[in-house]
Amino acid sequence: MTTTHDEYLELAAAGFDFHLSPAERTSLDTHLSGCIPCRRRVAALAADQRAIGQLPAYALSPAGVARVRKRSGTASRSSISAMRLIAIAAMLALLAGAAITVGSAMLRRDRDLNLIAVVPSPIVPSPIVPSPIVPSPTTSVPPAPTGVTPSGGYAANTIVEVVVTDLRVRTAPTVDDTKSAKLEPLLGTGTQLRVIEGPVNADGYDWYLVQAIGLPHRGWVAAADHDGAPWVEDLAIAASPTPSFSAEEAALVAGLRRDAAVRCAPRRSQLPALAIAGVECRVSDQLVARVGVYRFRDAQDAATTYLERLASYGIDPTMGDCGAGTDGDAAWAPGDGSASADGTTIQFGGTGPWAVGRSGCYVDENGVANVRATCGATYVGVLGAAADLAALRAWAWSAPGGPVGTGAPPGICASGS
Amino acid sequence: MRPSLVEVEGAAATSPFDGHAAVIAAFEAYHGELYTFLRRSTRDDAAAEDLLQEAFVRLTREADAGRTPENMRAWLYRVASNLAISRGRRRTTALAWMNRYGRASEPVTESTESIVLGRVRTAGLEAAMAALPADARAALLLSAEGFSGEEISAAIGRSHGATRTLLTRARMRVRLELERSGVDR
Repeated sequence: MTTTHDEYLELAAAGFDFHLSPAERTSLDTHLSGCIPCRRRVAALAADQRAIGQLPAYALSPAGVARVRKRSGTASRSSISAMRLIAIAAMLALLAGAAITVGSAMLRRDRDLNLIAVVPSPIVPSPIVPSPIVPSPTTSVPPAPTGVTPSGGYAANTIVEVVVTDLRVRTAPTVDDTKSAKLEPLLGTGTQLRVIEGPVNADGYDWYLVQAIGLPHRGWVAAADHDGAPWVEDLAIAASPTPSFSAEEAALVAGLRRDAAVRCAPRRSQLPALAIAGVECRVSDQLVARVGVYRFRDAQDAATTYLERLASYGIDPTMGDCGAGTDGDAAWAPGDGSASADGTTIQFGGTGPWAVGRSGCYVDENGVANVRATCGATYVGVLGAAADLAALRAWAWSAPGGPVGTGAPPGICASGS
Repeated sequence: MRPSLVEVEGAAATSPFDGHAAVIAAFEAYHGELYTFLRRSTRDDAAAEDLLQEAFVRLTREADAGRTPENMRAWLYRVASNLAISRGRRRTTALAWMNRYGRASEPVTESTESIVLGRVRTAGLEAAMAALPADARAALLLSAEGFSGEEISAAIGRSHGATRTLLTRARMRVRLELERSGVDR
């Protein structure tokens, strides 16, 4: 590889961490579009970045943790557990009248005063599994810590998946708002969480400290409702071993319409050229087999990939009518035929300009309907379970809020990007 | 882009007592990932433990002085990066890392990721990372943790331009090392 190629490769590498200038971006795009080995190496650099983020964690021994805790002053200053200290801090804020509505504060004071009375309790068995921090309101003596690990509890480092529409993450394992702040936004179905510790049984729930994968949420979630119907499930049990999502992969899942984002797993091999991340979801119903969604650096790369795929099935831009059940392509975004300098159109195979927001369909070599679409830098592929192009196209375009308006992306891209 | 995380009802720590509770909460939340970052940055169990301790000593000092950082995770990574890089400068990078790597503590668990990557690829990547200077390695790890180029510049104490060059060269070196070693074609 010559020096010139290396310069572009370095430019591409810089793009991971810094915004490239428009001139740099244009120059890079031009070079990559004509250099297949360079595209492959850029994809390899992206794979390296993902792999670094997924290197396994190292664990400090429990004795090491205890040493650091003691020497750095992060051990609590009495025998009480860290969780209890946080509860005390929260309660001090409460007594000072901070950040709490007066009515609810008045209702909660007795319980919190009870908490004060029991804080130095010596019966906390372990700093790892603190006892419930909300003692029964009917007694000034704390209940014995349950310390119960329900059968099927999740061990540290287990990857679990959110299986309800919205899951709340809190800063402490309790539903008491005076002790535990709520994190926003809620976590949606399919979000993957790494278990850090738990369970802590409190308020009738089993709580786990988790880190959401690809999202900043780190806090406590309840694993199931009071009846034990799960809110999170162990992926390793629910399916074959599934790797956790990188940030880009999690964003791809989050960008899909919810009924499409089911049983999703990262796809890390044989990604389309130029793709930086991919996820495949197994919808597996009568109409739809799979949905693949791929992230590109920008909308132009996504649109180029889309047009290449359609061209490989003999479909040229603006031909046919998928809604009527014939192979074809159409732009859903404006731009066909009018050159733009802002990246909303591309040239393809000496033709164009073509709008980057497109949707198309074809029946593949197996006689199965396929729909493809681009939404910003994302390219979506829907593999049908039958030959009906119109039905699959309608599914891809349906949106929870009703019909998709003119100029709007297909409903399957919930976020439109 | 990562979504912003909004704490809806949390009260900011103000008094030293609140600050101390916040530091303890930060320790519980972040000591694991910071240890991994430091262990991978320094390639040394004992050094990683020492630097982890130093980072939290400094955080405790800040909190006791009533200066609890607003974004504790970013603050901790910045301090940890500085500590790891300073240590790296004091040592020759020609340290026999291969030898050390061979005796390195095993990762916690056989994670699903490591199964997917394959042990060979993981080991190759670790070795390629280990061959980098301390500042370049820290910068790559921060990038993989989702920090932006600007944040990394601040953490390692270099200009944007110098950080961009450092990161770019580090990425290229890792790639070439993986290709050269045959781990990745």
